[in-house]
Amino acid sequence: MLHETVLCLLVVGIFSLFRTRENYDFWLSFFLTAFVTLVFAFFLMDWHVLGSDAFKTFILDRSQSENIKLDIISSKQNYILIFPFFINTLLALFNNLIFKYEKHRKNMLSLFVFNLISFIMLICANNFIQLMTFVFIIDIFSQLLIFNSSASKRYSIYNLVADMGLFLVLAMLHGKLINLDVGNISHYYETGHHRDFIMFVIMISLSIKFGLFLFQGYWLDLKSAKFHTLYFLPYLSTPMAALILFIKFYPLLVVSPSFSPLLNIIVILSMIWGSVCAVLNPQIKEKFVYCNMLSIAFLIKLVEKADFMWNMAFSNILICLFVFNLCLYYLHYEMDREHGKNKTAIFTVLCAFMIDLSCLSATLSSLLTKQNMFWIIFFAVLFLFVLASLFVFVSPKLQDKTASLDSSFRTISVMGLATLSLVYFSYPFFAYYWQTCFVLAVFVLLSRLHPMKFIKLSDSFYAHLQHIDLITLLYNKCITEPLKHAGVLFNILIDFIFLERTLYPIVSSFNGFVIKSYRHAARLGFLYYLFGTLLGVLLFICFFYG
Amino acid sequence: MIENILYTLTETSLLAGIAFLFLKMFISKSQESSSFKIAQMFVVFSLASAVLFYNKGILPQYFETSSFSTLAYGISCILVLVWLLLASKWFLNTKEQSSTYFCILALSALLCFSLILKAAHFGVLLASLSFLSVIQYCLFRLSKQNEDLYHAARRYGLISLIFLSLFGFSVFLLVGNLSYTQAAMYITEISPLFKMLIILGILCGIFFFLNIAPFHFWLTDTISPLVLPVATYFNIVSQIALWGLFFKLQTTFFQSLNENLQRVYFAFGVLSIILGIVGANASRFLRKIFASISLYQAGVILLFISTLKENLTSSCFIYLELYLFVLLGVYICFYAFKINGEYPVNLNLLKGVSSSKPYVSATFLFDCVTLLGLPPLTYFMMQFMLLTEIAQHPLIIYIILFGLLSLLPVYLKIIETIFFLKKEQNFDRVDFSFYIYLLIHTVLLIIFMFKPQILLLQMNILN
Amino acid sequence: MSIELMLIILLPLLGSLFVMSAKDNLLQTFKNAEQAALLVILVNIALIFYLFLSLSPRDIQNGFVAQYSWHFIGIFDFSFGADVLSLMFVFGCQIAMFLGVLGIRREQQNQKQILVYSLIYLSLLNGYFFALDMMSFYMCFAAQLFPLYMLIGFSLTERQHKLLVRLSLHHFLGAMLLLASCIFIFSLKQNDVLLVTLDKLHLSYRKSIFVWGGLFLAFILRMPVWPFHHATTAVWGALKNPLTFLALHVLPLSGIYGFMRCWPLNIPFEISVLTPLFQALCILTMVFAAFGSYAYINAGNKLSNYIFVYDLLYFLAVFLPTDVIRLNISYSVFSFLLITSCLVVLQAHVFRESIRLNVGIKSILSDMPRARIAYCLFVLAALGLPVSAFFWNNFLIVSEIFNFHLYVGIIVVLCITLAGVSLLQNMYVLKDENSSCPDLSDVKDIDFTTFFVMMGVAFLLLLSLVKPLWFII
Repeated sequence: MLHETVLCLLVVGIFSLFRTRENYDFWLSFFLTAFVTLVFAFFLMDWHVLGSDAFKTFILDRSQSENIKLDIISSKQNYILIFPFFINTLLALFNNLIFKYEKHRKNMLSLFVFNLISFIMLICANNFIQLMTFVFIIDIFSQLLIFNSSASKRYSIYNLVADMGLFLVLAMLHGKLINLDVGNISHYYETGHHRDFIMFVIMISLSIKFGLFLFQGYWLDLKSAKFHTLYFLPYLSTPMAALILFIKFYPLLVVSPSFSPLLNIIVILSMIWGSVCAVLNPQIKEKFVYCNMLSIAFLIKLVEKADFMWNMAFSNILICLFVFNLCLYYLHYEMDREHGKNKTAIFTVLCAFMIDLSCLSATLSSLLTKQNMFWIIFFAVLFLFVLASLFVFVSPKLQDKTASLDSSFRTISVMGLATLSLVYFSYPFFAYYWQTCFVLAVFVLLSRLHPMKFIKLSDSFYAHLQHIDLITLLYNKCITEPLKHAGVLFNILIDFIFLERTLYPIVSSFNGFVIKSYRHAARLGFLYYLFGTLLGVLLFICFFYG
Repeated sequence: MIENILYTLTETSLLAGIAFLFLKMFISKSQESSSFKIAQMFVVFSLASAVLFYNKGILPQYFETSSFSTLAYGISCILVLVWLLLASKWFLNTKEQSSTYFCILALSALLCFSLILKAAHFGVLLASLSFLSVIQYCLFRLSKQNEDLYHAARRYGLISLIFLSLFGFSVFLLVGNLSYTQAAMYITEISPLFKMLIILGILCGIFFFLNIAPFHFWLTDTISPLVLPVATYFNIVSQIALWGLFFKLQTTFFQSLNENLQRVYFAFGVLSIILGIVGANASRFLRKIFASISLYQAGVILLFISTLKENLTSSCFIYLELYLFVLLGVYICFYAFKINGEYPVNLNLLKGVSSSKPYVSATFLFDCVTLLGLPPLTYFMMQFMLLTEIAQHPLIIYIILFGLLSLLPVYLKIIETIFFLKKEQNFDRVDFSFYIYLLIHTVLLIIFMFKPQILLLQMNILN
Repeated sequence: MSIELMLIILLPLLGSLFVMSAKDNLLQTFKNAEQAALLVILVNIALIFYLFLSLSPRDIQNGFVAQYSWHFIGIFDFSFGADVLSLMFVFGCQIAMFLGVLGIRREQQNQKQILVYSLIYLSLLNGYFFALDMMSFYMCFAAQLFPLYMLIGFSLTERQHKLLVRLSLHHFLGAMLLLASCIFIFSLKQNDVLLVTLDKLHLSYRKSIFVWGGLFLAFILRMPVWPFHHATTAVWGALKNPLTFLALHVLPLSGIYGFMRCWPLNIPFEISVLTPLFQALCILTMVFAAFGSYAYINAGNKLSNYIFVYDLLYFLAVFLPTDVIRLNISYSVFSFLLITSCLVVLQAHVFRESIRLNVGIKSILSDMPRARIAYCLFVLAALGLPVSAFFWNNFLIVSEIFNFHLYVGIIVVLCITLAGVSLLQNMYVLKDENSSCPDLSDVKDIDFTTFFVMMGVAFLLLLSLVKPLWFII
């Protein structure tokens, strides 16, 4: 069951934290990765034999109001949801093993494993505490993975704001429901109100965590982080945590009439902005960020269209998107760092790329319905365009305009044909064979024709694009600066002017005046005595008679 | 006959002491500390006589010896003893020539206190107060070093003459009904105008001697330039006897006029509190500050009296006693602080003294904190008990407490100067005996804190 | 009778006498004094643990685990007792002062005096939290002000003493108002009154205004609520000594404790009309603090404003017409004390090093590995890391606020977020490895003992999701 899986992974994670000699780093990582693979195998077996849902609960605290629990629920739905993260984590572990520039394999392994555990616990969460706890923990693991102050600064701040938004919503829910169960969310509107407000807060928080349009600024800062952690983050950290929350919070979202229009706006803007920036941006890491923005926005819409029911198709999409990142990264790495010397590696990557593209197209074809046709086609067009642009960007030889049908293109075409054959004979995708062919063909054509050369803009524009960040500028002008000015204004107006310069000086002046008068009177000598005596006598007479 | 002589031993011993010291002054020109020892001896003898014959007296139409008068006199004697101890150190340090003269004045003052406390006749009271004024005038002129003091002494002389005249006029208006009981009966029968005139003269005279606002100016004006022993006298030594007189008159003569005097006490009390606070905050001279604080305390006592509650007079007496005891500690510290043989008057001269005189500074701090009324010190307990008695008068409670609050910056300023600022002067070595005095003082304060029953025993005597 | 209670109260006083008697101006003197202070606090912590162990489940709800009565000077009946609420506060204060003493190891000036007064202050603080009757409560409430004044006075420069006078006036005014309330209560009952029976007093209309108004203002004046906040925040900003900062930091929490003990569930009618006004002032102050913390770049101000915001959160929580979250407030305050104590000590160390080396604080943590780890951990905890009791209890508090006032709850969460963001920004400024900075090879890291203690505190926080001392209660 899942709790056994978690336990095994925990053991792996803890074991990998022990300090050992550097020489043993690779071999230990190898064995631990193998063990994780074994755990995955058992995971699959459990999934296969699973009958009814199994609950494993750890009670952290008992109280009269309610118990604080940690739940690990082994249900089919959870298995489906965990599956893509498990696969992606495994791929990340393999990459960790084979990537020759990674010096701290064991540490990275432990981070990946703990991250996976956090995802499992988040997916199994049946109460608010577990939910919030593991969202935070995933944020912290992302921070540790980034391991670069300037890169992670905005990342942490944005995620903190998003998490506080979730905190606000959950606190409101708990205040009304007096219950921590996630399942009771749907009962909120029996006693509570403010549907639009709650939906809005959740959507803003999740959009920040997804890194959608207007909120992608902190992802762009990650360009100073290492590349081989950058591929990990979009599909195995905060955006995916946000996706899980998106699924769990759906009862709060769908009751608001403004939800659908808002989601559509966010998704469309994200997809368009993502595609445009992915194509135009000259920085490879930023291209990745925008490409992922496009993909994730589409995935959200897809899930919403499926009534928030996660299925294997979505798992496949996630895996495919992850693999795209991995393949493009390796392609860039081989072409840029290794200067294309390692033909075997390039060949393998290209194969994987093609298979991945086929899987994705087949999966999307399987999901095609009347409700989501527009979105899938829209995404497909944009995605292919972007992918082709990325592909061309990472493969310098293909950018060469003067080169005619050179060996690389021949290689791609061969790959494409080989993949087609593979796809044809692969059972799950057999039904979508022609759609897959079409997609592959379009991709190859786009890569060859290199349409970007027609819309290439001036060098100064590129330079300008490199240096400005419109969204960040917008934030600074509309949020950050006004907040700072408001803070300074409050402090100056209320604290400084009212208290320091008005109230306290009035009191001080009054004190000063009294003391001065007293000292002045005392200097009068005998007149002071006389005046005092007369005053005393007068006082006596007045008060004696009342 | 012999009995009568014995009953007057309290006073006659003092007279004998005065005569002896006079002779010594004229015969022996050299000044030694023996004058103080002689004076102390006579004070002790007088105290012993007073305790022995605590309820015996002569001339009952003029004098009344009661437990209260004996208690007040006893405390005055103890204060005079301590005063003489401290003054002897001062005279030794400054090498002043007038120590015998000073002792004569001290004994004379004590004699006046005895007469004032025992007086049951306004004529006797007037004479005693006049005599006391003369002594106080002489004390003003004790030090020949300060020109300003001469002018201050003259002003004092003039103003005390005015008040004594007022007092005398009131006595005159009593038309022969000069004993307290007769006067109390007489005053209920006369017209309101005469009543007012009589009370005006008597009360204003007493308030003048008690330094209650607005008649306090002569003291706060002059206390800083006065030599330290004389300042000690005016601020501490004379207070018990004079307040004792006031309490005695309050319970005998003023009793029938409580309704009228309630408002008067309230008004003078509030004025004293206000002027005390202002004076303390306005000044940077230590003695002036504490004189203003004494003015505040006088105002507080008047406010307590103005509630006209039974038995409150006794409690006020103990409260005053305690206050003077704490103030005595403060003054002992003044004697301990010396810069090049001079006793600093300005607070700024005490900057950072705690670094070189930690024990004296610690005691000074303890006394300041006690005066501030911080619990669980004895002074707080006494204040709390008194305030609880007058819980029906919330206005008075808030006036007293806010007055204390207004004095806080003064105490904080003192503490800041002594502890937090950098030392600028070099202080002279402190005489070892001062450490003994301060230790006894602190130990007694702590004992009173845990065993206030010792102080409250006096209630039996006072009631 | 329970002797442990009196030991917890009196031990620091005895320790202060020992420290006072040590000779001045010797390095060894300070070491001895410091070790005496640490030992005293450790013994207190052990006694507190012992008291916690003797708590039964019934005691946790509404009982006192230990009581001590003293017929003080034949006039007052002093009662001291410990329940979970008071024990959490006391325990938090002991750890805070322990960390504070560790934090002043490298201070140069007035160390002995500061130790003496901090021990006296701690003793009175313990007495305050354990007091069960009105008089002992008041006495400790008022008497605390004196050692606190001395502590602050030793830590400020000459020009800053004006701020101290203002602060003292505020606190003393509170003490006077509380004294007036005690006087009225004492005169009514002719005897000392237990705090739990305060709400059962039958007071006339006028007396009721005096008593409840006095109580209310007395505790409010300790809180940084506008317009009384200025004095506290001005002094906070000026203080560089961590032990003194922590001593002052505990004072608003003592005001919150006072409300929890004395304030009735149903606010007396006579002053209930003013309650919305005070809540509004509280919110307003919270907004100022949050915005102020965001606007200003001074790291000291950021931390002070952060503390400020949370003090006001607890104040709002205490004022809710419910008893349900009392224990949660105490648990949260405990965690809050621990977290902020560590941050204060670390920040003081950073400032001290930057002054010593005459460099800015930017990137200074990059050369202090121990300090950096500790700082990052505690900032994360301060942001509300869910694995600490701070998070869960704050969650309950905020959700209870939402139950009564939606808009107040929203503003509270916004303010907490802004304060958290400021703290986070500050952390990145301190540990930014990428900016060019002058040579920091001479910079001294925090010593191993301090680091070890902080890790112990972090461990305690990290293990507790719900209750800080879950292994005991």
